[in-house]
Amino acid sequence: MSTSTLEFLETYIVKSVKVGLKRYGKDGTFTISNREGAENKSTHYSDRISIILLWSNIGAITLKIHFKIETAKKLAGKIFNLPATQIADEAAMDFMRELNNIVGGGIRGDFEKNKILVGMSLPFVAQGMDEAVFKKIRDPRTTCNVQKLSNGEDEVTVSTEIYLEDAEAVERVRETLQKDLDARDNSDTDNLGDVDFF
Amino acid sequence: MAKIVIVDDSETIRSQLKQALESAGHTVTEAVNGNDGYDKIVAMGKPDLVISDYNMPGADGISMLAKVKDKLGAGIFPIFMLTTETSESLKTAGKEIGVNAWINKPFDSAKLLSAVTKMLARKAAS
Repeated sequence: MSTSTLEFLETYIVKSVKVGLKRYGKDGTFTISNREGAENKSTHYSDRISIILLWSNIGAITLKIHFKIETAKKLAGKIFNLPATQIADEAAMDFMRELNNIVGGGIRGDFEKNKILVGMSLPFVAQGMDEAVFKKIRDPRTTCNVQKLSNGEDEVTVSTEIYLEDAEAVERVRETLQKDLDARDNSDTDNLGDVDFF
Repeated sequence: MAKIVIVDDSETIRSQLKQALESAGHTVTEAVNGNDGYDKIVAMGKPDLVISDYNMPGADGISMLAKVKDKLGAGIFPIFMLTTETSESLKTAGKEIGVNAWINKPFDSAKLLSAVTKMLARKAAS
């Protein structure tokens, strides 16, 4: 099992969230902090988590975006051109749920282009004080990671738990996955929502 | 202007769609999931256009539209799928139940409105 394959996936997923914030959240100013693996003992508190699960025959991913409701209101306000004070809690949580849906959908789409079928849960938001903590990792096929995304004013925390059964399958498509994600990140938003007429 | 039903479990997406479509003068009916979408489309009888998500609690978008097709008949209104799904097999399933266009999220309001206008003109001409 190559650790670098798991680390590649961690980086790819966090960057997918950054791209989601840019393309859906209309905020391209987020930067990504350094990786903090499960061995890091620092804790990350937030009051809500948007969660989505992805799985396939080569492995599984749990992707959580930890956020404060005030941050979610500011982010949701950007797409409606409204101040955060005019965004209700439920609307802000829905925005974070849909953000994770779009991020997860992008990840699944990238894999499916490479003939790796991926299942995806509906996104959901859990409320209540949350701490990103992972169990001690003993299985070398599993990794956990925490990284923060900040736009200078606000931040969200992304935590991932990845179980990878078939690292070679990822290695075979790694370059394409990276290229597709980079293309989405580097493109302006002109290709958003292209309509495919039948 | 047109009567359009939007079916999506995301309030954010429904609000964005509603804002865009109403700004163009269309009348919008919102449905919050597949089952609600079925009820509202059938109750309306013949909307001018349906825009539906795929992944929703309860019935997914394609199952819901297949059920509507069984009830009301095929091809009586145009359908757009607005979804994160990119799978070719799903697109094929969509085509089979009469989906006219596939749009991936996140969407661009101007492009969506242009597609709506084009589809409604096509419908009027036919």
